[in-house]
Amino acid sequence: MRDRNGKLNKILIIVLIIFYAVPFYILTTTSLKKDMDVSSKWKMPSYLYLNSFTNAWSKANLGHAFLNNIIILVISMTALIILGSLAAYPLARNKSRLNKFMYYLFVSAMIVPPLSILVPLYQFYSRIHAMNTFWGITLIHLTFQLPLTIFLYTGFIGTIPRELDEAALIDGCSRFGLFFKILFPLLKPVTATITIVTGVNIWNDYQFSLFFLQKSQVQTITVTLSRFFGEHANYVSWVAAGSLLGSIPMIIIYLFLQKYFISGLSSGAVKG
Amino acid sequence: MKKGIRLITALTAALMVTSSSLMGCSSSKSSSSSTSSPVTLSMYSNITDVAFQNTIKEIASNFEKENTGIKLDITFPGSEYENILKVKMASNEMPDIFDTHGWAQLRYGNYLMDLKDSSWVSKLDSTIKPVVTDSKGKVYCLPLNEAKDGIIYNKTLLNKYGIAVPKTVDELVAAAEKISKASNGQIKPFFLSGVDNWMVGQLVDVMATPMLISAKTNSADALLNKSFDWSKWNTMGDFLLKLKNEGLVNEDVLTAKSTDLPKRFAEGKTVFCATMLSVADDVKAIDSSVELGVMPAPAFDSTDTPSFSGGERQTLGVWKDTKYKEQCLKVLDYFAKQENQEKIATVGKYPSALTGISVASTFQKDFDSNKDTRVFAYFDRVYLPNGMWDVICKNGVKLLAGQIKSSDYSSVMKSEFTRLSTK
Amino acid sequence: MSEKYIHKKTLKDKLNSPGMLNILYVPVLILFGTFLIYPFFKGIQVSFTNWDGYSQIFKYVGFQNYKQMFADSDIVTVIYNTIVYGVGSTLFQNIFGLAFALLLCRQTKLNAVGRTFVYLPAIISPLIMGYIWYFIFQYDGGALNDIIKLFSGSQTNLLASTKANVWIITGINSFQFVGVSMVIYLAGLQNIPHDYYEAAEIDGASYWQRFLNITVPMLAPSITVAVVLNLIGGLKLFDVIWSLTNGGPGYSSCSLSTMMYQLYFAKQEAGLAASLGILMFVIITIVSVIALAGFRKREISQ
Repeated sequence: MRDRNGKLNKILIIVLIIFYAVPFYILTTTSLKKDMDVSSKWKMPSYLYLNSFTNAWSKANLGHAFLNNIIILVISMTALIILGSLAAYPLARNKSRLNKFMYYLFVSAMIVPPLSILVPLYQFYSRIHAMNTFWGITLIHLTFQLPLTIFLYTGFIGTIPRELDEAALIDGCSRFGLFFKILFPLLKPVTATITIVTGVNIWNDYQFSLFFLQKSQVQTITVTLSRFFGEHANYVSWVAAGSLLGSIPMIIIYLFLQKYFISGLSSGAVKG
Repeated sequence: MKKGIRLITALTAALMVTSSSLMGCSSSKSSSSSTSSPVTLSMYSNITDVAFQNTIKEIASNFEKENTGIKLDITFPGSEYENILKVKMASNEMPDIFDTHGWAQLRYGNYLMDLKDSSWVSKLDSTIKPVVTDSKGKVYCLPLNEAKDGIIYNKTLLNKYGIAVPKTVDELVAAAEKISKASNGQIKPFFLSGVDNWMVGQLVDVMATPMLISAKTNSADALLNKSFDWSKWNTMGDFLLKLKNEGLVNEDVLTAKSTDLPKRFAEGKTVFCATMLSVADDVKAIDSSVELGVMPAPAFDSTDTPSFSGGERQTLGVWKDTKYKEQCLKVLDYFAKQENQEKIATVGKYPSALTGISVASTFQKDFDSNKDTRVFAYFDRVYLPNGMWDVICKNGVKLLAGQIKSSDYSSVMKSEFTRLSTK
Repeated sequence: MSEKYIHKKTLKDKLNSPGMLNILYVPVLILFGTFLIYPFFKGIQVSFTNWDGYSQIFKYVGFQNYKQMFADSDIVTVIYNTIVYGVGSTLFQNIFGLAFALLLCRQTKLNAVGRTFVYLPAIISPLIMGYIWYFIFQYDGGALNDIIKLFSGSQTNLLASTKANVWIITGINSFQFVGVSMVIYLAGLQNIPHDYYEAAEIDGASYWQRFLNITVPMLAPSITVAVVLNLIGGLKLFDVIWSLTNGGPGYSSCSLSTMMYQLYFAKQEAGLAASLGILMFVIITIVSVIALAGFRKREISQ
C-alpha cells in the first residue's frame, strides 16, 4: 500500500516539475539562440552561442545594478526582520483592544495602492533630498513590506504556546529579553519564509525603484532591464538572456533558504 | 537578556553606520549658482533609439569639452519618460533641460522658460515656428528635429506586386486588397497593435487630417469654435472597421505588441503601418534587403491631395525655475549648431526644424519626392483638447474588438471633447 | 529597607507589564504615519478635485468624480474583474498550494527540486515573467500556438477574447504565485509534531482522517495567512495584467489597480483615479477584514 503511494507521489512530482519548468525552459532556449534564429521556442539550438548573455550584461549595465540590488536588499531585510518581529511580539502576546486595532491598521496598510501615495511621497522625498539614495528607497521598502512581515510574524508567534513565555518569566527573564532568548529562535521557519517572500518583492520592485532611483548609478536590475528591453525589444535572445541573469541571485537565495523551511527545528520546542 | 539587548544595539548601530555612510554616498545637489564653479545640469529625453541616444551623448560630451565648467547628466528613461515627468511636474522638480516631444505648449507649457532671445529662433522654419511659439511670442523649446509623419510602407513589397504609392484612401484600400488576394490571404497588409494602442491612435491621427482638415471644404473652423458635427467622425470608425472586416489587418491585432512590427516588415508580412521612422533601423538589422518608405496620408476625397502630419518630434526645453539659466541656454545653442543638427538629422531620420540643414538620411528620397506635399500640424495637438489622445486610442481598440460601433466611437469622442474643452 | 524593595519591584513590574511591550511597534507606527497615512489622506483630498496629475493648479469639484465613477459602465466591468481576480486566485492558489505542500514536504532530493520549480515563477520578476508569458502566448511564434498548430493546424489568440481573458489571467496568476501559498503551508506543516500522526496511525486512522483531524486544524493559522494574503494580492493585481494585456482590449481585463493607473497617467484624470483608489481600498479592506476575522475565529475554535 505504502509503496504504491510512494510511486504515485513520485510521478505526480515529476509531472509537476515538468509543468513548472516550461517557462524556464522556454526562456533558456530563447536566450541561447542567435538573433535571426526563428525556430520554434521549444527547440534547443544545436550550437552554443553565449553572446546574448555578454551583450545583456554590458548593455544593461547589470554588474552595477546587481551591486545596487544587493546593498538595498541586505539593508532592507535586516531592518525589516528586526522591526517586523519586534512589532509583532506585542501584537501577538498582548491582545488588548488597542493592539487589535493596531494589528488591523498595520495589515490594512498592505491594501493601500502604491499609486495613491506616489506623488505625495515623491514631493516629500524631493524636499528632504531622499531622491536617488539607498536609505530613501529602504524606507519605502520597509513601508510596503512591514505589513506582510508583521502579519506573518504575528500569526506564527501566536502558534507558540504561552507556557514557554511564562516559564521564562518565572526564570527571571524580562518580557523584552524573553523575545530574544525564547521566541525569536523559534521563528526560524517563518523568518525564512519572510526573507524569501519579501526579499523577492524588494529585489523585483519596479514601481518605486523606477521613480525614486532614476540616476544610472543607483538604478536597480528591474529598471535597467526594462530600459534595455525597451531599447532592444527586437533582440528577443538578449531580452531572454538579461531576464535569466536578473533572476539567478534570487533563485540561489531560495535554494539556500529551503533548508530552513524544512529543518524541523521548531517541532522540538512544541514537543517539550 | 543582556545578550539580546547587546545584539539589538549592535545591529541598530551597524544599520545606522551603514545608512549614514550611504547618505554620504548619495548624490548631493550643487548649491553654487555662479558660472565659475563646476555646474551639473540634468537633462532628460524620451529618445529610445540607441544610436540616437549615443549621438546626443556625443554632442553633450563635445559640449563639455568646450565648456569646462558645465557637466551634462543625461537620463533616457525610455517608455516611462512621460509618467516620470508627470510626477516630476506635480512635485515641481523638473530637470534643467528636457524633451517636450510634441507637448511643449499643451502639457509642459507652464514649466518652460521663454527662449525667444536665442540666436537660433530666427532659423526656425515656417512649419515649426507656429507650433513652438505662442500668440504672445514666447518660444517654448528648441526643436531637435521636426515630425513629418504619414504611413510607413514596405517598398520592397509594393514593388514586388507592381503597385504605385497610393494617393487616395480608395487607392490605399485597393492596394491592400490586391496584395491580400495575390498572397492568398497570407499577407495582412496593415499592422496595428491593440496592446500598444498608441499605434491605433497614430493611424487615426494622421488620417484625421485628410478626413477633416486638408480638403477645400473642411471642418477646421467648426472644430475650433466647437460647432463640429461629430457624426462626421463615423467615417473614421467605418474606415478602421472596413480594414478589419476585409481581413486587411493583422489577425492578432488585439494582442500584438509594437515590438512585433520590425519582424513583420522584414518577413514581408506587413505592408502599411503608421509608426515612427525609427522602425527602419530595426528592420534593417533583421533583413537589410527590405526597403521601407514613408508616404503622406492619402486623401479621402479625390479632389484633395495627400498630406503629412508635422510638428515637434524631439526637442529640448529649459525649466523655467532652473538655477542655471545661462548655462542651459548655452547647451541649447550648442545643439542648434549646424554640425550638430546635421548629426541629429542623419541618425534621427526626421528632417531638421532649422532652415538650411539638409542631410542624406534613410527617408530623404521620399521627403524629396514629396517636396510640395502640404504639412499640417498634428490633428490632435491643434483641434482636440488635452487628454483626448487616450480616448482616441482606447476606443479605437474597442472598435476593432467589436465592443463598440462607429457611431459609439463618434459619440464618445463628442462627449469627451465637450468635457475636456470646458476644464 | 523593605520599602525600597517594594518600590523597585513595582517599577520593574511596570516595565515588565504586557502593556509596556507596545513600545516595540511605535517605530513602525511612525513610519506608517509619515509614509502611508499622511499621503493616503492627501490622496483622498485629490479625489475631490479635477487635478490632471501634473499641473500646479486644480479645482475642487466635490463629489463629481465619485458620481462619474459609479455612472461609468467600464467601472462595473472592472469591479467584477477585480473580484474574479481576487476570489479566483485565492481559491486556486490555496487548494493547489496546500496540495503541493503536502506532496513536497519530505526531505528527499526530488522534493527539493519540486519545491524549487514550483516556487520559481514567483521569484522571477513580474516584468520578466510577462515576457515569458508573451513568448508562450504570442500569436505568431508563441510556444503554445506551436503545440496547438501541431494538433489542430490553426492558431489561437487566447488573450483577445474579452470574455475569457480575465479567467485566463487569473489562471496564469495562480500558476505563477501558488509557490507562495505552498511555502506558507510548508512552514506551517513543519510545526505539526510527528507524534500526533504516529499516535493516529496506531489508532488506525486513514490518510484522510489524519488529514482532516490533525493537519487541517493545526494548519489553521497558515490557512488564515495564505487566504488573506492571496485575497489582498489578487484584488490588488497589477503586474500580471499589465504585462499580458495592458488591461485591454479596451478596459475588458483591467483590475481596479490597472484602471487606476491608466486613469491617472494615460487619461490624465488624477482626481478620478484617486476616487477609484479609495473605492479599491474600501472593497479590499472590507473583504480582507471579513476573511481575516472569520478565519481567526476558526483558528481559535480549533
